[in-house]
Amino acid sequence: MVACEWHPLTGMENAAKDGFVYSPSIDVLPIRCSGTATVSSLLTLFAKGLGGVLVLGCGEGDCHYFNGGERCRAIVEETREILELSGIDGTRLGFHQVADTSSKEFVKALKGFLAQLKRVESREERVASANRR
Amino acid sequence: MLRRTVDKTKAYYCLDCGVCSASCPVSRYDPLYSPRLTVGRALLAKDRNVLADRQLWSCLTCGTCNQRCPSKVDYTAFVREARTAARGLGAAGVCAHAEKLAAIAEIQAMPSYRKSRSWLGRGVRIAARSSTYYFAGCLPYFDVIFREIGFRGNEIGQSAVRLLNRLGVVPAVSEGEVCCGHDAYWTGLGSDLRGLARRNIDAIKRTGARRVVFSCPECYYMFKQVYPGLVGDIGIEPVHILSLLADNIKEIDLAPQATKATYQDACRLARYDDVIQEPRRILGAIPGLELVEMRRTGKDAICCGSSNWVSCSRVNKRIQIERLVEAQETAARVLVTACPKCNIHLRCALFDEIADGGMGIGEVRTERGAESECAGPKGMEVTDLLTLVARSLASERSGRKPPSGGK
Repeated sequence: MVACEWHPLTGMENAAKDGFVYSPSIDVLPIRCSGTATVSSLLTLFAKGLGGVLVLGCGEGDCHYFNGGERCRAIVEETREILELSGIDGTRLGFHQVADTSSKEFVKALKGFLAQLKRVESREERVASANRR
Repeated sequence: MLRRTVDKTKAYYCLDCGVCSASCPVSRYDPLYSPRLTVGRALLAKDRNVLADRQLWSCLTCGTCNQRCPSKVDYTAFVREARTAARGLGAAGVCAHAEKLAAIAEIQAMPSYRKSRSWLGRGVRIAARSSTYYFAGCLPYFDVIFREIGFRGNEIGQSAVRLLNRLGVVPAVSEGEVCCGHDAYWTGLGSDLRGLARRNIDAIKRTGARRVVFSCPECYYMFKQVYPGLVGDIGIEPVHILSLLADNIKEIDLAPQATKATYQDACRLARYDDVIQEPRRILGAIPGLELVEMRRTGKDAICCGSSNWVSCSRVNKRIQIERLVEAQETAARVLVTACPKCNIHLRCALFDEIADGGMGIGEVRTERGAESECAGPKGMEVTDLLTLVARSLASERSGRKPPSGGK
């Protein structure tokens, strides 16, 4: 999880206060603004073997640096294209703009992404076992 | 550390004559860069001086110095080996484009990596097994990254396969292909490439191919001139598509294209190899196309100004602008290139000039950010040779003998 320190990380702390627990296999990388994520840094995370990367940012109009969400969206789109060209499902890279600092938003974003990841993994497993037969 | 490099590249034969520095495009715009001085320092055993110098990464490895050196010092090999040693000291070039290309190389190193063939699109024929393999290289990735400056990498690859098909060749293209390693090799990571070479050769051999056709001069150079040194006889014949096309161009019906074109020789084709007349024969076969030469061509052609993604400064821009102006002086409408790198770098400089309202040598036809066409004031644009030739392909004639799995 690559989370900007404004809405997303605050949401995460609020979620922790509300007793929300997530798997220890999820690493959190705080960044100042989602717009500072780069194509190469995201690709490197996959190259290191991570199965999924979720980038969390703030909504349009909320960004403390004006247009971080917009920048991040373009970066995520380009990264997804490159992942698809490399045999990696592009939805393994998620991007969610959390609406506020509530624990609800954060949990929704994380759970939504994990569900998506699970769908991708089940589909790939089905294809792989079909190929094995 | 440099002693072995000096011995290997015969740098001790240096006469201190300075022809290298006088020929070097980087030196022309950066007086602080000097091949002669670099070799001089190494010969005086000032290793740290050479290895810690940022300028070690300024060399374009274009090979103009190698070619003209009266003592045949292999300066670019010297730079390459010095860069390997410099990496040991923690130095490295700065990878342009926010290190995207380096990250893509890391992705391709994953054992689970599979190269998508989506770039092929429709309208081309490939086979699972064939005696000929087409190596696309990084074109699909470049297509994504450089889309905003109008570079169409996928179209180059598609044109290559279409032209092969038209010659009766149905090539194999595999998902097991990885980056040829050229940029890693030239930026001091050459000692890690054996595995990469074997991986590529195995993927190709699994398709039954005995011959590999390349559209990229750098990939071609790696298979032909570097892989044998890494893994011995590679057992497959590397061929550049320009050679294949030039020998068989009369077999292909080409529709006229009434335009004036000039041609940029790629360093890896003209200086590191001898593929010089072939592109000209191909262009000459297009009816109505008038080929005019720039002032400096063939082995004296000027490098496109960037190399291995570690050269992107104002000096490189000056080199590129100089070459674009030289192209414009021919009054050509099209600057044709057979190298994706030359295409990207010259196009990028043209784009920057337009965007910054620089020398006024270009104008954008469409909005930046979308797929843009960059054109000079007289409409000069940078075009890939294969894409250009493919535009002349008449529609498939009926009665043509269908190829049986490739020649």
